[in-house]
Amino acid sequence: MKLDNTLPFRLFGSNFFSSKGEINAFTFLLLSFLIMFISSCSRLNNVESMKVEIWHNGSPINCNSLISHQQVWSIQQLAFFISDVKLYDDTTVYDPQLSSTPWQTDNVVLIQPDLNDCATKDDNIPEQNDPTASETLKSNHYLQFLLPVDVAASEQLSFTLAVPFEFNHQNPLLQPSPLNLPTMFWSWRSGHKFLRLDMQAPDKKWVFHLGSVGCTAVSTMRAPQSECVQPNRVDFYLDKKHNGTTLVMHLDRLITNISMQNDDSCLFHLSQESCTILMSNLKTQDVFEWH
Amino acid sequence: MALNLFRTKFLHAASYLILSCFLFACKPPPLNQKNYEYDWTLPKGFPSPIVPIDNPMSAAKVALGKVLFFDVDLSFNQSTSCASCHQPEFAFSEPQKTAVGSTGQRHRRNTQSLVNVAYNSNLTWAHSGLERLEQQILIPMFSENPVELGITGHESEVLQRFKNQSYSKLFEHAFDDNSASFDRIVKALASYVRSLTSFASPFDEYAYQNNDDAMSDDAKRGMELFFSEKFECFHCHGGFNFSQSSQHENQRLDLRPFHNTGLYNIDNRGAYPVYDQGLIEVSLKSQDMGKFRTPTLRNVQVSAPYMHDGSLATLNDVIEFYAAGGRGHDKSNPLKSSFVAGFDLKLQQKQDIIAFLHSLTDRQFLNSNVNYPHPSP
Repeated sequence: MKLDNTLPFRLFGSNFFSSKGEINAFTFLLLSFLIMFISSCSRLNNVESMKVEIWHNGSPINCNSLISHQQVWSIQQLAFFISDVKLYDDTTVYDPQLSSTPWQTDNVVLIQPDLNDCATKDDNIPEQNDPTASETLKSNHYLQFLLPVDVAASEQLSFTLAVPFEFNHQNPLLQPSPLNLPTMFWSWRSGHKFLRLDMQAPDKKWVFHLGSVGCTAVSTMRAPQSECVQPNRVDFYLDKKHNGTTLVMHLDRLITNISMQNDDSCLFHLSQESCTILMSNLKTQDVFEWH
Repeated sequence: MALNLFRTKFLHAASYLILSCFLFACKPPPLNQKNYEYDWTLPKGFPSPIVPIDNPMSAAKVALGKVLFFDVDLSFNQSTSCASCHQPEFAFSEPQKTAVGSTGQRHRRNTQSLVNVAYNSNLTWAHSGLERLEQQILIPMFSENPVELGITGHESEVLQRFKNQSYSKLFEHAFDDNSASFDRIVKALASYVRSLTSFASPFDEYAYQNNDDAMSDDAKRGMELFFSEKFECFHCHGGFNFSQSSQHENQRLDLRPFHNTGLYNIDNRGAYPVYDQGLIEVSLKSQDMGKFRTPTLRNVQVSAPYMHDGSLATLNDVIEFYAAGGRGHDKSNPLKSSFVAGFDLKLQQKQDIIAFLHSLTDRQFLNSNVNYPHPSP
């Protein structure tokens, strides 16, 4: 029995490749490669992801150590949620969809940069890639788009530093990752920590946890039916400074005017003055830039 | 003629190239880590644990593992079983400060509860690289310091005890082969331990089944305190397993669930006693001094004493320890977690927090294995 007779169509022979079929086949192949080439060219300005970098005093932080307030600080944890990402050109607002990964769901992404111990950082670890690889399950410093996005044509980027209300107070057991991470979840009533920054110096510690407060529910294990008194969702509208491939968070601008003492951490207790300053910094100090 | 032959061969090659492009464009099916045959009997909405591909769950393996778990023949001198330390009535822990092995050698650490251990992203008290039960079980079986079951040096003798008619049937059911091996013993034990899930406490009934009457008023008040930013308990004891280190089928991100609670500070720079310094022994990173894995609080009412060395006898002691922000002069420990800062606590608040911790007790789970017969099959 001939091999081609075992297939549901004939790979070669009288029908597809008749006397003029060889020419048709060459034309078909040529056109296919041409189409593939043209479509790849049209995506040269598009990006499938946007990198997030953490900067301090004008430079990227490459490991978890920085000097501030006359102290060497190590970052115990830095993570934050970004949602409602939009891009703007002269006339149009684009609403790029984020792909679903362990770090992204329902167009909400958790950024948790790789801030390894400075002494042991391994530069050979691949940066990005298979969302199931062990290294990519440890950290995330990318927004990954479902489809390539034309950042070259975009002039502004906007996003919200928060989890939207409709996802913020749900049962974490039923939520997809990363909305089921206990390290970023207060409770049903209060919802998620939108930003978590835990820092430690040799003789002191400082913590900032941003999230909604004034949420009304009968207990901490029940969700509020309406928006909290202080949602504490901060919107950012950023002009593009360079090619638009990187979102920069300036840590020094976030903690400016904060004394960084043990007693001025902000966990949104009542009467924590540092929370007022930090919220003001988020809104006025250009904590994020779009490069 | 030669040209025609060349063209024909070229067309063959081109056709297969196009076909192979289509074939390779299709993604392979994802690796299946779930075992759909095993019934975890979890409440609605609770995610299944992650199970290694090379040791899928089965009722037969769990059954074999359960018999092995309670069998003293697994220790070299037939004195000790896994259940000697992991006692079901104490949520698979034991009411001793630290464990004692089959030779009488005392372990430096407190026996951990095995409740919901299938969800732990890391195992034992302080080991960032120990992520699978199949790896962890090798320690009590073969460790020489301290000796626990003490199998090392007695491998053939111990294995021979499981080559009898009763065990052959169990191995046959579990592995389609009746011969015993340490690999199969480990896989069966891991399957049994993985099956020890507990989600039927009054708190679960209240929180996840929406039964407002499942918890007492004092337990509800304690719950409010537990989840408050003032008392900070939930920062480490967070998530559905109250350990903040849980992974499951819908959550595979890599977490680092290790914290320094300020239990010791022997040099005013945060050092723990040399006989047990926590994660630093594995990681060799100075900042990991005194860090231990946060244990689950499920069934904590029955798993006393507490902490990695069993040095706090009661829940009352534990709460007073955290209220003080550490122990004695250790409060100034610079390596201590930010969330162990201490707090003012009224007597009623302490009682309420204890009532909440008692609401995490799953009586159905605790009773399910208490009367299990201990002798070999």
